[in-house]
Amino acid sequence: MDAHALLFGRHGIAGPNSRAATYGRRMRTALRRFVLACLWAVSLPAAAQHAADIDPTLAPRPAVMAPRAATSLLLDIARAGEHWIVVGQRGVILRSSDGQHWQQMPSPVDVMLTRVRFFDDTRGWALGYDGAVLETRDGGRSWTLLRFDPQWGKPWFDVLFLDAEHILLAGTNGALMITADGGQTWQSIDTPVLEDGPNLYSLAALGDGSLLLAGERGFLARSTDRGTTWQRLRSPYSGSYFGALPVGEQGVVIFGLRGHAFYAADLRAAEVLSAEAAQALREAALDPTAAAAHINPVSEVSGWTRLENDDYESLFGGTVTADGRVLLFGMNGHVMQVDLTSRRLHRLPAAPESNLNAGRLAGSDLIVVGTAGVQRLPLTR
Amino acid sequence: MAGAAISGPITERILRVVEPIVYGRRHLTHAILIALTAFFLVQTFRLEPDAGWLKSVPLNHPYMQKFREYYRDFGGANTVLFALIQKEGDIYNPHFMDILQKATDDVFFTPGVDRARVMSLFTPNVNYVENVEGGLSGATVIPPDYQPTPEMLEKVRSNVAKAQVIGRLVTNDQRGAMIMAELLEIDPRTGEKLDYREVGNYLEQLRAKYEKDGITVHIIGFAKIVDDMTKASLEIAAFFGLTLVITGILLWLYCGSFVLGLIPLGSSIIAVIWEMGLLRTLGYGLDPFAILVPFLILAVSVSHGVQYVNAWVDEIHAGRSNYDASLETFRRLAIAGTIALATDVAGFATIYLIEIQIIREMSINAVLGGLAIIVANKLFVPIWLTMIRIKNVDAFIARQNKRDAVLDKAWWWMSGVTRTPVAAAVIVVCAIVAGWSFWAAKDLKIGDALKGVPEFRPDSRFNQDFNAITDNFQIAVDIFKVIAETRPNGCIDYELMEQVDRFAWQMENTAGVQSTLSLLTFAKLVYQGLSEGRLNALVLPRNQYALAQATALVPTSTGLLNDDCDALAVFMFTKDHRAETISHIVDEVKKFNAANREDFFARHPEVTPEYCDRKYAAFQAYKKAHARVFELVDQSGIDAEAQRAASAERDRLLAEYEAFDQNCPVNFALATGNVGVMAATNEVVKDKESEIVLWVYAVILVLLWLSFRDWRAIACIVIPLALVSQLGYGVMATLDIGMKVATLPVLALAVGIGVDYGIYVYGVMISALNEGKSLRQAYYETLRSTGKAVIFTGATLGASVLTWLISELQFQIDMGRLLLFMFTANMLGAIFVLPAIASFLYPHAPRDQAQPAGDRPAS
Repeated sequence: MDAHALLFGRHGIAGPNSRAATYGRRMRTALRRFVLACLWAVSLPAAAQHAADIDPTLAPRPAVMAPRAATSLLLDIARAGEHWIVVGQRGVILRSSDGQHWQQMPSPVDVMLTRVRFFDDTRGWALGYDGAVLETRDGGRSWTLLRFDPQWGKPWFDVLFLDAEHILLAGTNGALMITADGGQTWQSIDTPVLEDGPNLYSLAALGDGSLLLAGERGFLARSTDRGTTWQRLRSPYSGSYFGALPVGEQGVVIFGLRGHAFYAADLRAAEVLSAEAAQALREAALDPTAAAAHINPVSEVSGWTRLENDDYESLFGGTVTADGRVLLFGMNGHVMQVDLTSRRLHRLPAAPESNLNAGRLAGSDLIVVGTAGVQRLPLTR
Repeated sequence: MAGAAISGPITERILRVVEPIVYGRRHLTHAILIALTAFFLVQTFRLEPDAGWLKSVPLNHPYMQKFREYYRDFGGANTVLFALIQKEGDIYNPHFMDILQKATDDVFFTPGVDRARVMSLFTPNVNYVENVEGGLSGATVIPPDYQPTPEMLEKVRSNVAKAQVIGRLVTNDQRGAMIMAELLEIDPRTGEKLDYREVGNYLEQLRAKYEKDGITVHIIGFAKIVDDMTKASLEIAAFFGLTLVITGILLWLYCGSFVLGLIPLGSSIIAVIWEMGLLRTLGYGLDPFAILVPFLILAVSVSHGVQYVNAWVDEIHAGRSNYDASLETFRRLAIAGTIALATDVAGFATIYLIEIQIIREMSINAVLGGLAIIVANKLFVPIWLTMIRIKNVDAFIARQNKRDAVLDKAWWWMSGVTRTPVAAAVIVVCAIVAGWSFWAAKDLKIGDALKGVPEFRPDSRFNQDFNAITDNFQIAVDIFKVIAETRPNGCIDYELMEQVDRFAWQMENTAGVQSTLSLLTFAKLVYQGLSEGRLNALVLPRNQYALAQATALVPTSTGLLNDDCDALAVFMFTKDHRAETISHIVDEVKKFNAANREDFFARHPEVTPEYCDRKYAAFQAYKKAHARVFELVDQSGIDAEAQRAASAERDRLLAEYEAFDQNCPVNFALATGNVGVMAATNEVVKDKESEIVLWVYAVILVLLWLSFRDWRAIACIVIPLALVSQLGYGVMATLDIGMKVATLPVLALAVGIGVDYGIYVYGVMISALNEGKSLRQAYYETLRSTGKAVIFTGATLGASVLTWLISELQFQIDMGRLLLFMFTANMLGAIFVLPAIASFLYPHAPRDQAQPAGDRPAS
């Protein structure tokens, strides 16, 4: 045998980046199979289960206390009083007072956590895969499991506190739930709008209290009654929206795949998608020739303005700063500032060499999270 | 002299048998020996290089057995990395791109290369992929219509970023690019086993062709290691000639006669010829370790030859004829010398206990060499001495006397070491040195700690290339692989894959591990790609179909999974390959494996550990039968019947295994990867280290007891030896030489050779004491005869390994440094420490006098 094959074998040579390239090769096959991928079983979340009911083989595992937690894949950041809280893969929850030194907090699950939001300085939720919903009542130091549904296995993507008792959860395949008692009991929101079961990536409450739900393949829906009923909106884009940020009283910025972003100055003016139009879209999606003909994914829809972007990097998260600036975060270290007057996205010089999922402003610095963990960077160079 | 000490009825009897052979029919004996030498000389020239890497690892260690079990799956191809790095500016200029394209074409024609797998920016297998609306899109990095225009070069730059090849095919700072190639063991053109030297020469030609105009070329790879090592080994063989010349000159000076100097030198050359001829005759080849043995044989043989010639000259001084002088010397020294050599041989033999082939062959080789020395020194030398004609004997003796007169003063001064206060001072110094070495030896490391490939010296061209490549690319070279054994088609079972993924995370958070890589790393990326590229989709999907799809897209050629997907390789890129780093990782792997089992059984009360042990045994049996089928297919001369039988057996065992339908915990088996091999080697070395040394000493003690039957003899000889051995550890720690495959045998060999000095010095001294002389007088006389030879020999031995220090191979340098120290220290131990100890053990010897009494016997 050759020995140093170990050293220099095809595996040997693998570096941290090589997986990406091998992956690249594979993706051609992936392309062919992509349609198949979309046909995965669609299942809705089972009824809320108490941990005790769970099959012992699926019982939650506490997160490993990991020295590399702060430099591993992290997905979201939130402010809890005087502290920053960051969540990410393998149940990692980190806490910091300065955004530079992070301490891992014990977490009852080791599933990927996709979102963290705080209602006030002390009470917050973190959500993720296996239908996990965690709650803290001490500013993120300790966490308890509110919901856990490994049988369903899928992730929640967003949470919205309407008030202390009324909370909305949005997740995979059109999973949308509401609680009226702070998380004790849950109700699935049954609306024809979610009939196709799109992934619901973002829930936003506008200045006027109306809600916008954004998701997979141009899914947009609006509610003016605190989430009870929903109205689907016509989308200016056929790709996915990964986030929605309220701007002013009625305004909203939505953004997502390939750096596409749109602005509605007054969401009330946005065109509604009729049931017939929705049906037509559905049929077009099933017809491959029609889908292929649909070359330009962006279309003119009244009420929406396209925000020009020179780059094609997907944008996954965003924040509205105290002084009203809108910042978006995406692939390959892209940090974009939204300029609503010139209707453009400008790339900011803060450019870490990693993929970003979310970020917040901390004084004159940015704290960003993504594939390289959490980093604090100066906003300007 | 020594012979006098070792005399008795047995010795007499042996001499009575041997003497007539050597002396009675010496011309016949000589002719036979010459004929044999000629035969061995022919055999020596038939010796072939044999640098098999498998020889240098402990094949019977459990890690290595796992390694071999999965070699077919995870053994790995052998890659050549060819990097072009520009001194200034980035690669996106027409000149560099042109060079890269041409170099890619040339690498394509490397002997044995797998052309489909050559990779550089210019090969069609390098693509970028993007998530777009409703799917994925991709293309080659260099567009098919590439022309060196500024616009096109900008497009290439942007594609390179998208393809995520920076750090792999392009340097981190984009000043250089890489061409990767894989070699096939069997050259597809010729159907013959790949000749690494041919590959190495071709690559060197390419280097010469492209290394100009501000571009440097760096080449690494297994083929390059083999080629460079073979070349370096041959270089060392050439040093042997240099060593012969140095030794010859030293002998000439020492003996005061060119012809006389030729006798030990000639006999030593004959010993080496016999050694190498015997090696070939027994079917062994010449590996980088074996190449060192002739140096040792030369050194030991010269040492004995010098003793012999020295004694013979003394006899000539005493006025005997050369024949009588030879006979007298033979009577005195043959038995003592043979016993000393037998001790050496026993020392060499003990290193056979280390279950590493290359060391075992070195042991056999050295034993053969030891036997060859006995023949050369106890047969050739006595015969030659009867034949030699020293032209003007009186003038020769006069010259000797003149020189001795100068030296005698020095010997007398040195013999002062036997005076009680001096002896006490020496003992105190020794105690301090021993204390220091005990303290220093705590830092003694197991294994290698140097950066780069441990075989080569840090400043060798290979390691320079190695550093240039590892500094500029993100390429990990210290790899520890653990095999996660699941079950056939285990890749679609979330429960099993989740354990592997959790293992990878646990290990990534273990000190010494920088990152990990497994099938699941890729599976997550595939799943992310199929999920619009979202970062929150970098997970293992619970859904079986999604998981199957994600894992099915990763080919077995990545070396991360085998065909049946019943075993995954988990790669850990370690921060270095130091023994502490490795052993900590090993402990953590074992800990995780145990904890994972416990957790699994707690979650599955219906599955018992016994059930899983039985299932694992069935799995092993099936795997073995499976491997057997492949073995038969590989063999030439296909036996269809045997193949059918093997397949049937395999299928039967598979059915038996599949009857165990409950899942069992994943077994994380140690270990492969270069660091995994080091882990096994380190464990063997650490395990055997004290055992070997104890055996060497046990053998020495027994032989010494048989020779002298006096505990004082043992104390005088063994204490200095043990002191030097202990000091050796301290010196190793101080010089940063690790305890490893190359240095462990040195410790044993050095003890074997070191004991010679003690035996000769003690033997002569005790016979003088027995004649009623004072200790100082006895030691003075010892120094004048044997001591002089011992000092000379120590210097010669040291000189002979000096050439190793300029080797390109780091382990030869380490062995050389260590041997140089051990030889010198042992010599000093025998000359100064031995008499100091004796002064306390023989307190009743007659009182010292102020002047040397008497002189040489009747000059």
